[in-house]
Amino acid sequence: MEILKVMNLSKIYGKGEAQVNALKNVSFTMQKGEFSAVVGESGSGKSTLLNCIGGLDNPSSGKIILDGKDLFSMKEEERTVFRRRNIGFVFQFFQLVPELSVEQNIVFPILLDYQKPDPESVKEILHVLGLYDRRSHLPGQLSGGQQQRVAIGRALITKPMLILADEPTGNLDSKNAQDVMDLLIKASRHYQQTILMITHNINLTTSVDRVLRISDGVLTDLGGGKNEALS
Amino acid sequence: MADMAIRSQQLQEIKTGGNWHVLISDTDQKTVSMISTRPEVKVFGWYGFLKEESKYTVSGKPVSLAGMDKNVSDKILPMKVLEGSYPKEKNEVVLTRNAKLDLGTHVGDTILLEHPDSKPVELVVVGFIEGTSKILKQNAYVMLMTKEGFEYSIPQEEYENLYLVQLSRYCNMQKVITDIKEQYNLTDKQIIKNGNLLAVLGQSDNDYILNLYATAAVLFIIVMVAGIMMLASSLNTNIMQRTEFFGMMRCLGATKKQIMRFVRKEALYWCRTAIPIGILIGTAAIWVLCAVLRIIVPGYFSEMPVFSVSWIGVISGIAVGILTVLFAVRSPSKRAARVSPLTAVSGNINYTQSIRTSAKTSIFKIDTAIGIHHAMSGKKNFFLMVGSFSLSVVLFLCFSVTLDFMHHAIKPLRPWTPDISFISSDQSCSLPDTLIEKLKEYPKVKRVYGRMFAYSIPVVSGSQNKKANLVSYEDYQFSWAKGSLIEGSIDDVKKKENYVLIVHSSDRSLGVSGKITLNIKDKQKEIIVAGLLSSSPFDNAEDEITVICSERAFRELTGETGYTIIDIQLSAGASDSDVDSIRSLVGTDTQFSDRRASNREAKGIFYSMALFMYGFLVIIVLISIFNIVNSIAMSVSARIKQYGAMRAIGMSGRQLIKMVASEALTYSIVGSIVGCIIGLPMHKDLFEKMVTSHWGDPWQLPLGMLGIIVAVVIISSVFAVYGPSKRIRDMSIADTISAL
Repeated sequence: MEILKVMNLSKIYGKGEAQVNALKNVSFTMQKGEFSAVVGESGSGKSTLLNCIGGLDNPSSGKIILDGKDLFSMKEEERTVFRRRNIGFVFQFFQLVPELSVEQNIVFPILLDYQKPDPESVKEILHVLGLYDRRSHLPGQLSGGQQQRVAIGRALITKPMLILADEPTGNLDSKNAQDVMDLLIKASRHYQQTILMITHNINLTTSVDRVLRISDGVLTDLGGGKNEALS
Repeated sequence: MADMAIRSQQLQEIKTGGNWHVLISDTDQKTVSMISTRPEVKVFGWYGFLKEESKYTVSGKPVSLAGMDKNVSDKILPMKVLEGSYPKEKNEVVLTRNAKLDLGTHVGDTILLEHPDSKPVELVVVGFIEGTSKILKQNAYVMLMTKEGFEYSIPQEEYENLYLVQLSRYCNMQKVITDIKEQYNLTDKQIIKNGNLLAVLGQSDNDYILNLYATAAVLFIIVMVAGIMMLASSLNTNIMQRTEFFGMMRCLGATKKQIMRFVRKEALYWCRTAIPIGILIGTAAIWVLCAVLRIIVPGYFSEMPVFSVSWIGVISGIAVGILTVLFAVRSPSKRAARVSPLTAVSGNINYTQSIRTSAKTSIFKIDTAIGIHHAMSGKKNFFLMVGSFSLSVVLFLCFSVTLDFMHHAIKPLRPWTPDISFISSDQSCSLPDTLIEKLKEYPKVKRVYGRMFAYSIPVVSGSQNKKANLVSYEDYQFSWAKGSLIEGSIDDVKKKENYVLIVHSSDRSLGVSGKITLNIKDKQKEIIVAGLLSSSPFDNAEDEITVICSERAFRELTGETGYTIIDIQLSAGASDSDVDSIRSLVGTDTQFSDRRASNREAKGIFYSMALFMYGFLVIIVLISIFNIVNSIAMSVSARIKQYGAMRAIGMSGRQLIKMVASEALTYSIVGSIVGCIIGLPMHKDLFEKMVTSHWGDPWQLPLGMLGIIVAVVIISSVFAVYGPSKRIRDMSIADTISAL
């Protein structure tokens, strides 16, 4: 089942001589349960691609269809709510809410909907993340690895259509990085979670289903299937 | 404003009392000559004044006669000539305006100055001058002539030789006066100071000016404290946003002292722009206020400077600006200096380090809970914010008591204040009751009402024997009395003949339903107290009570039908000639009091006090508004990255604004509550000391004032969100979360 369809996506910054084509007619799709990685050097357009897919940035042209819905045909507030319910984010610097406990951070998207979270689901996620004993701790009382696990829990809690991970291990040591990758893989395999991860670390791509390379705004599929340009 | 008020007072004092500092009397010519040659003496002039026991009359009416030499008439006691000119020849005189109708004279007329023991002196009226409010109110006449004229017309034994001295502004006048006294062996009776003018020149041991400047100084300190709290809070937030920068500075080798100096200099740099802007706005505001006073009370404030600059105000403004910044920057600069060099590497110390508890999402919705938590998590900042809000509420409440005091204390501005009054010459009920109907028909008469008085009536109240002044009221006066009714009812007094009102007195022995027995013309009459008033327009001796009844009751009790006083309120635009016509209607065999000038003066005092009080309250309100707007802007600025991340997760713009609004309202609501807890007892205490003890009004919760300040604080919190909400809406989420 096709979850994500990106069609001729372009993003241009600036004007005239200062114009930068961050994305050049990028098109690709993702299936449900697929774990894809986007690799590329600094300034290649990885984060721009992720931001556009997540609805955080407006593309200059092209479309992003998520579960049959055109993301940028929605108004801003509508897109925010859609993102809250259907897209999970994992950032390099965790971006937890410092005033909320571990448990509150995890259920944050549900609280934003003014809903009460299901205690059983929360408990399960806390156990999976190994954070049950720290559920009342604040982010300032956690290590980096623990904070990133909280962020993953937050991304998973709404069982979103798509999880976008921007350098999720970029701020972690190797052990924690591996733990985080293990969690993401588990989410993908166990929960059939569709994950698109950005990384500059080629080593992390061994566990993913598909690797996409972006260079100067041009996206290329490096595998599982064939090595084809997707721009 | 204090400076402008003092300048205005100086000019007003000179206008009403003359521009002299010392009056010398009963001394020889040699001493006088030596005093006049002293270097500190700027102007020296002769003034002749009839002794009180003199019996000079004009057309049978007693007259105050004075002579002055050219120095006095030009520089010390210049009187505004309304018609004609100032006398030059020895047989020429000017009269005060009120004499024109009363004596029936005009410019060019010859009058006779008569004395029972001497020949009448023929004098020519060459002009009429403006009298002072005191002269007009008392219906006295003043006749002025030259020195030569005075000496020619009046035997020496009938008048006093007085010498008016104007000293240089740049000398220590008290010291000079003391020196003159000692050098020439003059007693206090021989050398009299113009205390009022010296006071407003700041040359007096009198408290007035010192009190005014002391008051201004106290307010200066209070405003400075509020400003310091506000600035310290802003600076704290500013510092916390830049800890990485300060860490970098420490990394590169800056000492703690250098960091502190840096922060201090940065804050003082703001003064370069802020202080000139503040001075310009303040000066413009003062110009507007002075112009307003001149428009509202032109007679009294005609001397108010309009485009003048108060250098004291400017210097004080610069001083308060710099001092506020220096005091406010102390704590934040120490905080910046304490930042570890490691933060250059680890990034800004953000709020995670100071957070100890989580937001209460079980009680409030997520956005509200986080907003409240943002407000309360930083203890020091929360204290500063709440402190500055509660200070605003406390100051507002305490200052509002002075408004109550002012409204009670300045009587002439009460609704019953007449413009002109006719008073029975012998204080009896001799003014015919038909006069009121005649006066009502006069076109420029807005309102006319009379009172009947019976003085010092023996009364028995309980077991106490006292004296009472019985006064009658009619409908207007009863309706005005409702405003000062503390207890009981006025309706019973209007309808029933043996029911009365009494005015609150300090011993409070008589209350509503109490009975009084009046002894009028050897008849005992019992009356019942139906109501208690906090005040009345009348003063009486300590052992006397004021008893107010209806006109019908007064007639019934005393048998009198006429009035003692008839008061008239004139319509707008009523001129002197209208007043003269009314006087002709009533006749000149009653006492006449023209209160228009004194009412203007009282109105002037009232408005200047009101402007001062309300102006200060406006300043308090403005400080509150600026405080919350600034604090919320700073808080949003400090958390903008966090907001970006929340937007990315799925927090909508509306939820973010709710969060910011919750933070703002937390400060303002808690600040208002603390302000009320501290301010209300203080308000009660001040009210009881200033108002209840004098006029008996019981303290009541100041709902109006409380409502105003709390509404201002809360509404400003709501508006404070406007700017940040726009910023949040325009925020690029991608840029915010990707920035380090």
